[in-house]
Formats: sequence, C-alpha cells, structure tokens
Amino acid sequence: MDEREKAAAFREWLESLDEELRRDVPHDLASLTDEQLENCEACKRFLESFRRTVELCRATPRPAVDRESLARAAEAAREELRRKGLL
Amino acid sequence: MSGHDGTPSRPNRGPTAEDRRLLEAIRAGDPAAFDRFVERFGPMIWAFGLRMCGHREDAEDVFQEALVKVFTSLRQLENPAALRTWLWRVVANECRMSRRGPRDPSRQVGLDDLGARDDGAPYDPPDETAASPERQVLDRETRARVERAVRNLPPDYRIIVLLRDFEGLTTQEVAEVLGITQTNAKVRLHRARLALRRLLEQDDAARAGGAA
Repeated sequence: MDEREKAAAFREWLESLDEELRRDVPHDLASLTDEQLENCEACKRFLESFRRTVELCRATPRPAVDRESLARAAEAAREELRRKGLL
Repeated sequence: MSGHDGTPSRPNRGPTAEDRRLLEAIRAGDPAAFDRFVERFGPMIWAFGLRMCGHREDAEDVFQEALVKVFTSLRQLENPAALRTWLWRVVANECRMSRRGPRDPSRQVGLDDLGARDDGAPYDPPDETAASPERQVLDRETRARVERAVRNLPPDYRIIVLLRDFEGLTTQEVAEVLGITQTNAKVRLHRARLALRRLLEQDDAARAGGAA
C-alpha cells in the first residue's frame, strides 16, 4: 500500500467513526492509526479540519434575541394558558 | 455558567438550584413563575428556534408553543433532574412541527441580521459567554460562515449538531431528546459533522472563487 492509498484508507476509516466511537477502537488499530497519521499529511489535514469544524460550532455564540418577538410569543402563550385555566 | 442575560448556557449540566425553585413554583401555581421561566429559558429557546427554522416567525411560534406545552405538562414531571432534557424534547418537537409547511424564503432571517434588527434597533448582543470554556469570540464573518453552513444542513443533521455542538448536550441526552438510541445518535452526529465540514469547505471555496 503506497502513501496515497494509506491516506485514502485512513480517511475512509476516520470518516466512518465518531471521535467518541474511536474510544472503543481496539488498541492495535488505534496504534496503527496513530502511526499512519504520523506519516500522512493528508490525514493530518483532514483530522485538523474535522476538529476545527466542531470547535467552530462550540465557539459560535447564540444568535441575538429579538426581545419584541420573545415578548409577543410569551404574551400569546400566557393568553392561551389563561383561556385553558392553566395560569 | 450562564450567559450575560442569565440564560442557562450549558443546559446539559443538570438542574441548578434556580431550576429546582422554578420547577417548584410552576408546580405550586405561582403566578410569577411564568415570567421567571420566560426570563430564564426564553432566549435559549427562541435562539434555538431561529437557528433550527431560519425564520423569526417560526422561532416565535416555537417559543409560544413550547411555553404552552411546558405549563400544561411540566407539573407532571416527577424528576427535577430531567427538567432540561424534557425541555429540549419539547423544543425539538416544536421545531420539527414548525417545518411541516412550505416557507416563504423572503421570511428567512438574513445571516447579517443575526446581530441587528430590521428597524435598525439592536437585538440583544449575541451570547458571547455562552457554552464551553473554550468558547471564544469569533469575528462576524466567521459566525456568518458557520450559521450559513448549519442552515444548509438537512434538518435531521441540523438539529443534532445544534443540540450537541452548539448547546452542549451530551450524546446520551441528545439521544433521549430525539428519541433514538445512543449509537444512532453518534452515527448521525458524525455524519452531520462531516456534512458541516464539507459545507464550510464549499463556502470557503466559493468565497475564494468570488474573490479571485
């Protein structure tokens, strides 16, 4: 298996697994992965890009809230609950 | 940890003492509990609805319907520890319901509008302090890229990424909220992250092409 095939195989394997699922990977396979990763620039780039995607999600703040819209919805819900005798 | 407006920013961290007091107040029929609930959870639910549906009107509908469901059924919730998972389930279901009908694209909120209202008056600022310790302040352009990519995900992928990576629920909680097994949640989450990664790359390529 040449370097390019290794990279493709690694990429395919990685794409089939969640990071959380990787914890369940047998040790020898995990070692093989580390070894491949060490020698595979394409794998490293992919893994970095994947990690960066998750980090971006975690770093993006919630959208700003439209207080008027929030208040309108709350008032409508309050009215409905009053009509039902629940408030 | 909470956002600048007091909104719980990591709703997966179990009920706080304030959550418990609020739950007791709702169960006791305390008239002030409604406003307290709106203040505490409103921004979180509204913002999730906006991200999930992409429409301000839908975010409003989701919040309204979720409020009605909460005050109709929350009294029956026996385990206070399950409050947040229960709440997310209600919100997720309302989001699913709201995407049934066709939507007018003109109603979709612009990504540039996530920080400013149509009338020029400011929204509350984005919740910079929300979520994980590693949360950092991203520039406006990066936020817009991420929001655009999330919006382009299929709904089943969008909801799981929003719950897990944006709102910080655990995989187990996500599975409970969506009513799927934990294994299915992990597989779906992984596919959703891969899809998001591709969308971000495509966005980068399109912008690079446009700039060339």
